Amino acid sequence: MKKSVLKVLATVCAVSTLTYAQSEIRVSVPSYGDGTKPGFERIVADFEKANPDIKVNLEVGSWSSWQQKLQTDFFSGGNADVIYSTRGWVPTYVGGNKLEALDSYLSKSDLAQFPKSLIDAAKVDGKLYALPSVTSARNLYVNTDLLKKAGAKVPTTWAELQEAAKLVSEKTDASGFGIQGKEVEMEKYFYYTLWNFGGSLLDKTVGGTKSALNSPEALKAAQFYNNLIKNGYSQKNVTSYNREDLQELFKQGKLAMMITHGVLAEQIKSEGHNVNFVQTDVPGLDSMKKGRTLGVIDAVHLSKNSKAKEDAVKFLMFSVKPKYQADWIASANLLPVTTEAGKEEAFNKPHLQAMIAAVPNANFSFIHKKSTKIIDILKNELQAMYSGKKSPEDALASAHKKINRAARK
Amino acid sequence: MNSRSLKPLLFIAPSFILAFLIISYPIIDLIRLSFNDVGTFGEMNGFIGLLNYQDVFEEELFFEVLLRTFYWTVSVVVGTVVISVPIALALNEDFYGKGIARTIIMLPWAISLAMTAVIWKWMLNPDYGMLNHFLMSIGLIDENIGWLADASTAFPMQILIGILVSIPFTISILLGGLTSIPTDIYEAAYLDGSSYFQRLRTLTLPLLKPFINIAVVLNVIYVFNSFPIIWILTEGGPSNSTDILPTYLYKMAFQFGEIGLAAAVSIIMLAILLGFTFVYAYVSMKEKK
Repeated sequence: MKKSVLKVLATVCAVSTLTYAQSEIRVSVPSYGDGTKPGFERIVADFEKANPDIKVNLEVGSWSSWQQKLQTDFFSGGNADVIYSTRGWVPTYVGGNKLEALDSYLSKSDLAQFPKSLIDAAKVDGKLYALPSVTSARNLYVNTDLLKKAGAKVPTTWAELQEAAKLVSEKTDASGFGIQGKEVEMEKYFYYTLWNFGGSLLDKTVGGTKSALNSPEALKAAQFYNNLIKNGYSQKNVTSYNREDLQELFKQGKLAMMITHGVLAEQIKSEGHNVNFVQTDVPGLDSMKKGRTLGVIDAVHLSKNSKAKEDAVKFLMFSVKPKYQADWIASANLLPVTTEAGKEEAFNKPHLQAMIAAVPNANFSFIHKKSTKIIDILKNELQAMYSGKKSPEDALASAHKKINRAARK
Repeated sequence: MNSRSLKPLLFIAPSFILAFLIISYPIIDLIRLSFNDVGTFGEMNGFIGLLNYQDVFEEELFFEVLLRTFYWTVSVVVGTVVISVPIALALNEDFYGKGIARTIIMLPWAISLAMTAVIWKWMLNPDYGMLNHFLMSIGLIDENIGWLADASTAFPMQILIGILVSIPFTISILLGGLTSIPTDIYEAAYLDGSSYFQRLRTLTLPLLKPFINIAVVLNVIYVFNSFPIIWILTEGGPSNSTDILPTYLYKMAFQFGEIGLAAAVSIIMLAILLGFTFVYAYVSMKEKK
């Protein structure tokens, strides 16, 4: 009897010691689609198997409320150790002293797995607070049937795009070029013309951040979209359309051209739409110059208040193994962040390859601690222009003034 | 005060203290935030007095949004009451299928406001929306209208939806009021030879007035603070042209991280609603006397 009691006590002690020794980390991930949760559950299961002393608590949430969730998590101090979010919010988190710089936790060989351009783009003030988690680049989608019907060719320059849009809107029932007029990434749709006409949103060379929207290049970019709208070469009621609305128009064969990510090609295929299309490069200013497109980097962070930073970084590096990226990233029709993962068969699909081909010509959008405010100002002024309430000159002048005031605060 | 009169107070004290703490804590915290320089993640960077309020009042957009919020609240509340009173009167009459009619009228109440707004967003879609399709099929329009593309069409539609979702709640209050009116006064008026409209003007409406007052006060509070309809349909856009104070406040707090300013706007909203309720209660009580 005595012996069995002792045995039980010893077992309880051993179990409780084991439990006590086990470190716990919490991982927060926004959902990129149906594959995100199962993909991360597999990573967690394999990681816990390889590291029995570390327990991972995974939470997967919705992108639409992700910024608010992280803000309230940080507000209450109840944030996760490993946080997936977007590169654009990093300066705000860094300003609030919420993130731990990863430089001292990662070896040279760890960093060498990532393309240098991605690592450089993820840095803030020379420090790495964000490790790229997923990337993508945008392509021009062209409905070849509509262009053929209108007698236009697939454009490689913005002048050709305008001509093709004109022909399509005049000779078919479809709209020529789709312009996104609201919601997520609306402002980014303006970057395509802004960058390719030689302008930029912010000027960081003048000491502090100032708006660069008072440049003649920015005006040309705004006038270009404004002319498409005024002449009826874009879809009507531009401010009614978010990205998904435009994609829907394209899938129904009611829109000849638009710029978006790889999901559209996959949707056309999986939903069985009868649309013949090409996924090509964003046009350049002239045929000698390749067009600049938008590159997007989402990132993963280590929180400052994490009590298990070493274990959290261990999870971070475990999660970027090629097979895991091929699992959840490819299923979301996005691109991997390490060179090795790029060789995985899962990424060898035409729509993903078209995005990969666009990466060398990609610009990444600005990062600034007031980025959400600056973006909101730009969106509002563009909407005023798109709906005909302001001229391109007035909209840009107003945006320029307001952005300078917001960036100074 | 003897022990007998103290007893009831002691009994209600725990619930009173609990309710007071639950209600007052967020308000006190909001007031504290509004007088401090607060970082995006709630870090307090020191007392700054009325500076947040000054910043709010210096923003031109704030007054535009404030005015629009008044317009939104008055339009929705007046529209709701004007439509609800005749419906409630009709539902109070005896007719075949009264139960079904009452259920149908109350049914939208069971659907969440967010879901209703999402359905309307689809219905107002310029290319695939039911509204354009219907108007085109009866020949009223010959090209699609972008209902949410411009404030001139988006805001009236939002007001209309606001009215539709407020009707069931208002009718339930008014029906409660109508059933509490004794039937014998109608019988007496009928025997005296009064017409339906005379009975309505001299009996029903005056006796229903306290219930209309309750419906107005509660609807003003709900509609003034209403968020989902405007947010889901337009997010306050295009160009802030459909923003009302709750959406403006949400952007400040959760998109721009301006917590101190957002707290100041919240306190201003609270003051406006308190002011309205007191004035309305005072006027109603004065009329009663």
